[in-house]
Amino acid sequence: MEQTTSDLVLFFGRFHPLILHLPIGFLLIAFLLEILSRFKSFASYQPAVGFILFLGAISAIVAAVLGLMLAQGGGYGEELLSLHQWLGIGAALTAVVALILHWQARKQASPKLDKAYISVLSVMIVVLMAAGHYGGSLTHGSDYLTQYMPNPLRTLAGLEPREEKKAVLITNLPEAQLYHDIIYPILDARCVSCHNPEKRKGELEMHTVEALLEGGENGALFEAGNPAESHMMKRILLPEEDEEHMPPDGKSQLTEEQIELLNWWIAEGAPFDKKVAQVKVSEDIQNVLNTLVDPNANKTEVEILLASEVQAAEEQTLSQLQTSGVQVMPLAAQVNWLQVRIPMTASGDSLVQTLSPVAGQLTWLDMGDTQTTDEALAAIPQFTKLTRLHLENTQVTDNGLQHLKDLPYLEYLNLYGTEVSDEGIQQLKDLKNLRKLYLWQTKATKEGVAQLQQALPQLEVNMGIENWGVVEADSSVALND
Amino acid sequence: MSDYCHQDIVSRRDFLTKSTLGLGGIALSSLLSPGKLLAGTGSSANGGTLDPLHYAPKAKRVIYLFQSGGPSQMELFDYKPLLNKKTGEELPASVRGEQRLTGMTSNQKSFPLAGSVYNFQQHGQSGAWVSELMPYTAQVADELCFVKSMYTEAINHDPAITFFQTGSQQNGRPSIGSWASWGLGSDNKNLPSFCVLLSRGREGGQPLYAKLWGSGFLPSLHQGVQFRSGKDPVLYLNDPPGLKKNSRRRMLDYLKELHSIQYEKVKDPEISTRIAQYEMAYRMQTSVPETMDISKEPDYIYDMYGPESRIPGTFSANCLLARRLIERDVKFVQLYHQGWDQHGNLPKDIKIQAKSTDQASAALVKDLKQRGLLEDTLVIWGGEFGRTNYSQGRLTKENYGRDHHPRCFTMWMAGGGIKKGLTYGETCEFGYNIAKDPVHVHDFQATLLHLMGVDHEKLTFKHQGRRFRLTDVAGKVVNDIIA
Repeated sequence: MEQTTSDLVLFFGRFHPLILHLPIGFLLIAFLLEILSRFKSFASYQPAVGFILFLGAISAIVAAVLGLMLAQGGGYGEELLSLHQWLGIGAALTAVVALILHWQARKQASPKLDKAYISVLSVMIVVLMAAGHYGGSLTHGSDYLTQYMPNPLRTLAGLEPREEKKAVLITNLPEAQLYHDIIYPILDARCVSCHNPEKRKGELEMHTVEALLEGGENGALFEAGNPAESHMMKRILLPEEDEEHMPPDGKSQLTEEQIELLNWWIAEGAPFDKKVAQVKVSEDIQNVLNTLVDPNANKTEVEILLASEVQAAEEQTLSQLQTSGVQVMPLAAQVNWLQVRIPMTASGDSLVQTLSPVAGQLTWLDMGDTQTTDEALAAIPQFTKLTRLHLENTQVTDNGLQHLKDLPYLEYLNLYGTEVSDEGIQQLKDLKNLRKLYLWQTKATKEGVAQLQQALPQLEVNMGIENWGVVEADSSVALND
Repeated sequence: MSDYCHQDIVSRRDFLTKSTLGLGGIALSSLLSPGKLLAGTGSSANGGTLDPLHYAPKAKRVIYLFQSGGPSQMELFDYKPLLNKKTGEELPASVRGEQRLTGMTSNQKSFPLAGSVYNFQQHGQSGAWVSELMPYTAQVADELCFVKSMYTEAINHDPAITFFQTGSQQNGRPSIGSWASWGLGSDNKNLPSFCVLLSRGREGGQPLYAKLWGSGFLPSLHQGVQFRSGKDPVLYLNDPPGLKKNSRRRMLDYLKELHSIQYEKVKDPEISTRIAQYEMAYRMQTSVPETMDISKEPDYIYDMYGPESRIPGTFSANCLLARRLIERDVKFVQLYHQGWDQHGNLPKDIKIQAKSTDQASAALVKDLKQRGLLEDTLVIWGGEFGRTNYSQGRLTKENYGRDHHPRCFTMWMAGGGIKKGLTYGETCEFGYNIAKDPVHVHDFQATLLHLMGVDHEKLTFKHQGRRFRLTDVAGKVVNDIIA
């Protein structure tokens, strides 16, 4: 902001958006009433026109003055601003002229005067509409209206068909252009809407390389090779409630990963012409970059499954389950995956059958510490989306484990305190997503577990605590306890 | 959210709010949801107000091992070699800044820096620093996440504990466990979802009050139920000698009828709470003795928790009990371990104190792990504030004391969605200020609720004309420690 502008001017200027809708309403209704009152049956409206036109003219002048004050604050594109400014002043002037002509025509009726009055009034409406439209463009961007226009309409309006604005996935990462393919899309999505030739917040534009290098009213945007001292990064890293934080509170924020990428780009010297292969890539950055090739790169299959949509179970089915004594709940709001707890006093054998209607949604099933035998496990294969299964302290045996063979997403399996043995657990070797297996107090041995882990190298097996030796604390201070 | 307990009767105000907001209109969904475990609570399947949770829960259960008195981080987890170098020197004014002091040291003429007399070593893959006072905790270092940059606003015990447990230094707000019970309901209809275990402190431990586990303005059904050691774990639960079980049942049925008549008249939600509590107590007559009976625990479990675990009422025995409660799906277990307030004779006292908590805390983590429960059970270890880096009173070669210090202290967490083998945050080399990643009490509470699947800004209760929440108007989830 220029230091020469007094705060008072800016304060009043901010009222422009508040006042400007009054002249639009007044002048429009004045015009419509004027036209309407020329029909016989509506002639009684005529006396109101002058008064309304007067209100319109006054408020148009006030809005124009406030608009000029608001423009002092800067941050708008020159071209669009001056267009809107002159149209706004024009609307106020034509309103005043129309008002004067209206009064004259009331005094002495002459066809000439009336023609002039109606013409000025019509011109005023056109100018008013134009001023309003460009004002909207100043605030919301010039493609605001057409941004979501359906393609058939666009062709009629002579516009290019709309491109699907989807995040473009990178196919060849090492060959990808660091700035063009990775950094610019971030700036475009989060910064350019306020920093462009039409809306130059902070005298800064960010839509081209030249503009980025030029910086804004606070000088250079970044210091190549030094993200910590770069103005852009400082502003981004301020707490969100800070006045200076970018993007401003309430706008879509940058993600942690996007910030990491911007930081990395500046640290690597903010190059505009390098490929990814030509700069240093740390492990963390590599992980982020992988998501640009495949958004699910760093997610496990189970995470992807649970993030996917599934059809909601019927309300009625859920309440029936509740009635039958099963505790069933969605994992979270807006998530239709279900978790089920068979109460400890119940028997899994009889209740597991009742879960068939929610087989598509069931993902966490807890039958731990219940009366459950292999019979219950026979019903398990239908629950193909199971990711966690608790069977601890039940009566299941090796024989029942064959029913768990085809649960592609099973990640957590608790069998502690059951009768299973080495032979049984080998049947789990195709569960490629199994990560945690609990086998304390079973007949399984280290050898059997090692055999299973050869098939499933990522599997962590807990067989209970070992070497829980007594530790003697030696202290350097002699104490007489 | 309605603070109205009993759902089959709709008050005028409730009716208007619900029908104008179109929330199910006249047919309250809760009227139609059977299978409720607790009469007179929220609408979710297990009686919680949040239906459903805001996020998928990473921690379904919490054990909070509260170390009352303010354990000295300098002797336990926060290794400060500079203090050993500068022992006896004056604390620089630039480091102390504007920190207010307690009445116990504000008149001291000098503030001599005091290094720890105990040695530190790095442990496990993560290389976490743990002192020789905590050998068992050191063994499980790779399971833990140490937060070294905790800070609080209070400087004396009572306001500081109240702040930690209820989010406000003044009395009268619901404690964390009550919020959890009210919001998330109960997974076991035979036990309260919020249980409290007090451990016998040593002489001179700071007193603890029932307000710390009180339900504040939430329905009193959600206050913590205190379990004691000895013949009557829960007071007044057992029938008097000579009363038959079915007489008790008949009495309760008639009482319920009387209560219902009164409720029809005055519509006080506390009456339905009362009905629910009588029913809960009746069920607890069976479930509590079974839960508290640790005589069937095998010897190696006792050995694991340490020799004191055989003595009812000790911290070790309570850790074992906490595990039993968690196994029975109790949602929130709040333990208190008293005796960390070492203003003088710190080296001698902290050794005894550490010994009484170290083995059992570590055993609890390992025991939960082998049962597969650590996956979704969060264990928290920490006090209400830290202690100063200078000596309170005279500093000698092997004796000194430390005063309260709110500006930085250490806590650890394990399990339930917390990154393991992580040390988060740093203090300055004097151990007086936070150098990196500060975590405020409200941040800790926000993170705890987040792990339980709750958005701390959305769990609110309207009372006295405004909405209240555990984190009041502050708190940021510490995403960096969430797995």
